[in-house]
Amino acid sequence: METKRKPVITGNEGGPIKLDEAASWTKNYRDRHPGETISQFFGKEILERILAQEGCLGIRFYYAIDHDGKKHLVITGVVSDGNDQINEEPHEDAASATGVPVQKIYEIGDQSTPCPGSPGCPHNKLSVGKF
Amino acid sequence: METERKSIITGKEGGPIDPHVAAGWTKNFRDKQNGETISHLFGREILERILAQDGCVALRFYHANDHDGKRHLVISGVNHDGTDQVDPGGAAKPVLYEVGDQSTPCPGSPGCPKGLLSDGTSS
Repeated sequence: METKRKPVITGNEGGPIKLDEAASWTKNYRDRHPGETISQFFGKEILERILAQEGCLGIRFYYAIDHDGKKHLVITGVVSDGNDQINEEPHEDAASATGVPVQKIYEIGDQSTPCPGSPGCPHNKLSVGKF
Repeated sequence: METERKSIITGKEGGPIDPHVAAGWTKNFRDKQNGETISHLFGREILERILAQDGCVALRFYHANDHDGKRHLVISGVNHDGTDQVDPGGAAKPVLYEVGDQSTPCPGSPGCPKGLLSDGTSS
């Protein structure tokens, strides 16, 4: 039997950071990982689709490496107890309010666009340390 | 004089991935980076605030290390020409864009999941 986890996620996780501090941290990363992917981005559509999933209070970003060694970010919706919104196998939910089984379809995102290596990569304090 | 950049970002960047492929890739990361932070969580409030900024069509996630070496993701809104929505400073009319951090890392935070992406197990 699955143990029910306590709600710990509020939707308020994360907050603003000063640009200069962020720039210094992204520089640290570039210095430690010369030549590597420094950023990835996801378009608004997939982010909003995941945020619109029932019960979703945030998005978890997983570091991932494909079988060619390329870096990715894999994203999932997160519910109040911290669990990810993942369909491991196509399955039917126990039952809807009407007693009719419903299919849960959760989206897991990837195919983000890396920099360097994509059109539109910016030049600014976060990406190269200066405007 | 600033050169105008072309509009190249559509907001459709990124797409679905099969959970088992994703699980293989997150496992690759855990195997190579033993003991490091494997994920970060941003709550919907900051994500929605940045997505609501005027002209924002995407979010960019920068890899970052603080001065203690701890990993972070720094997020910024992205304009249709690919530029980040950060305040360049010195602008005649300052624009206040939010740059996000303070995401919740795993391991090390309440609510870290056990599952296909986090440890390869079925949740």
